[in-house]
Amino acid sequence: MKSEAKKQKFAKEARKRAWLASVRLLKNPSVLILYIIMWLYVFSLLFLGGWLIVSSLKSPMMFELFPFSVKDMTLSFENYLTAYQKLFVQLPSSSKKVYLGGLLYNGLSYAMLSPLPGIFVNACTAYICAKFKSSLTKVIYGVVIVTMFIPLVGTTPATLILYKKLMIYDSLLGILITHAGFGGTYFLVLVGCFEAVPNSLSEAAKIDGASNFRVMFSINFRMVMTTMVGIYILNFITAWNDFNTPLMYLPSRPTLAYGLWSFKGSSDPYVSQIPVQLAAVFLSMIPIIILFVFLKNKIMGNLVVGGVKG
Amino acid sequence: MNKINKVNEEKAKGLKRAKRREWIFVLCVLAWPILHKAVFYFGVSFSSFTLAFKEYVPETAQYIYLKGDVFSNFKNVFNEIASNPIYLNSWGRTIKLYAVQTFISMPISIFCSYFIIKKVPFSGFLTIAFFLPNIFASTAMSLMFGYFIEWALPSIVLNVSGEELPILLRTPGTAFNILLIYALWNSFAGGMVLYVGQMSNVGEGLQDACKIDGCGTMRELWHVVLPATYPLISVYLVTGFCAIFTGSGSVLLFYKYDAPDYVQTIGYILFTKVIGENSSLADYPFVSAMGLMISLIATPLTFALRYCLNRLGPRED
Repeated sequence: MKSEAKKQKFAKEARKRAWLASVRLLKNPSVLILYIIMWLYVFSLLFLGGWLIVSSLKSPMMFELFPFSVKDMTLSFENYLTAYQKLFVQLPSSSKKVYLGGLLYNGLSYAMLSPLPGIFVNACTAYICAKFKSSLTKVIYGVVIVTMFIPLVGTTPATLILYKKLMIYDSLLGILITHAGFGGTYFLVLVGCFEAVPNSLSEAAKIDGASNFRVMFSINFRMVMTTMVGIYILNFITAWNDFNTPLMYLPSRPTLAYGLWSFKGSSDPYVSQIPVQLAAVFLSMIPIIILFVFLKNKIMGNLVVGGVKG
Repeated sequence: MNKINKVNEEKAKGLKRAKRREWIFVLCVLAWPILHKAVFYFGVSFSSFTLAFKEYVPETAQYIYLKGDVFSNFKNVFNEIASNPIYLNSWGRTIKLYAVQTFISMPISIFCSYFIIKKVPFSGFLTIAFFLPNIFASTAMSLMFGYFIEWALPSIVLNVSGEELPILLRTPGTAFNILLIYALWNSFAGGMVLYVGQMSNVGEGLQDACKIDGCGTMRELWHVVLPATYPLISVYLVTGFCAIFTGSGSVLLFYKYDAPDYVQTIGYILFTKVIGENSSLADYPFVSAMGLMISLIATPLTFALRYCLNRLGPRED
């Protein structure tokens, strides 16, 4: 009991010392100025976030009369219900409308599926580059580096023409195919990870009669699974927030991110209501907030060079 | 002796077989990635190159090679750049956007990241607060920011000073500045998350040694932490430079397809010629020609920038 109390006291003192050390840092005027900038930025985020939530609870008329004031107002969740029931995206060249539920479904399916082929192909290519070094793998590695630094401008028309020719335009399967390539920083991260896996493990498995595919999938892929999961989560977030791909290549499967973009300036009496749109903005943040709460350490811990720590 | 030779021969054959199997395995695994790269990168680049020398025939809905003046698309691009004020001004705006993110946002982000690593008070909370805007959709953030500027800000100014504000995002003098503020606000945290991650990898031993040698906080940042973070910074600078002309930036987010002339950037102009209400199949060759010209100018500049950053940047000793 005594030692427990001692430990607690020691921990308390250590915390106090750390706190004092952190406060001492602020004695430097330049540090203090930057510290104030940081807090101003955080305040701006919280301020806008608070304004978003309050505005999403106002009636459209109250919002138009008092877009900032919170005096004499009744707050209700009606906008959230209206957003769910009435907000829609009109599909181009068709009379079909996709409502918020559909947008959520499209967004989730796109975000969950689209990172998979890219991560798989990147991992396979990275494995070969890391473990079977030859002139071919050197060329592949070089292509990745060079293509990262070549700014290709104005290729969208050619891409659209190609997708239409290959009949993969406006198809989720088509988009998955186009995502199934290698390159970028995640490729470099995965090469580093595979290089760190000891060769002795693969050699032992080969002596036991394992095939090359088995060595790749059962040993090496398992060893870098944590990094691959980290990349998947970050890609999921990117895909969930991506509005460009649905806008350009998947017009029949609008996602929630695309929906939020298209609501602005709508002439529909419900869609044009700003508090309803802001309610939809908040709804779009909920899945990401949930993901963040559960996987905070995984997401933040994995963020190092190029996005993900190896 | 014969037996030993036979065993050696068998071993050599076995090794050869294993090597062949290995090669077959490597080619099997790489077949799809190589095909993919060939079609979706090199194929697209080549067809974009050829499209710059074609014209659209509406009757057949086909693109055919230009006869006579094969460079007419390039001439059109030159004419537009030289005579159309929208194009002329959009270059400046595109570079301004990059400059704000690079020369204002980046240094502040780097300094702030360092002090988060040094554990200023509430650094844990600050890290999470900086991280959150990164994981929300840019469409959500821009919608929130845009409506705040359009609705809440005029109301605040009216209450405080009694003055009526114009619609800032639709006023020539202020609209692009608002976009710059948004770019600054939005990009500030994005870099910070990465810098914090990278800086936390700098060995504590190295920092302690620096402290023992009598280095102050700023000297430690300059001589120890910055060189260790430099590879990330240079990659950020180079890839950011690569993306100057490819992205439509926040203009598309705020204005959709009807951005006024005084906010348009090169990326936005090229994008809206291909996608959306104002796009036309006839403009595809023009966009490809302009893209090709920009790529030809930007590629050597990107590599020169990379070379300079590698040569002139700080080194870890």
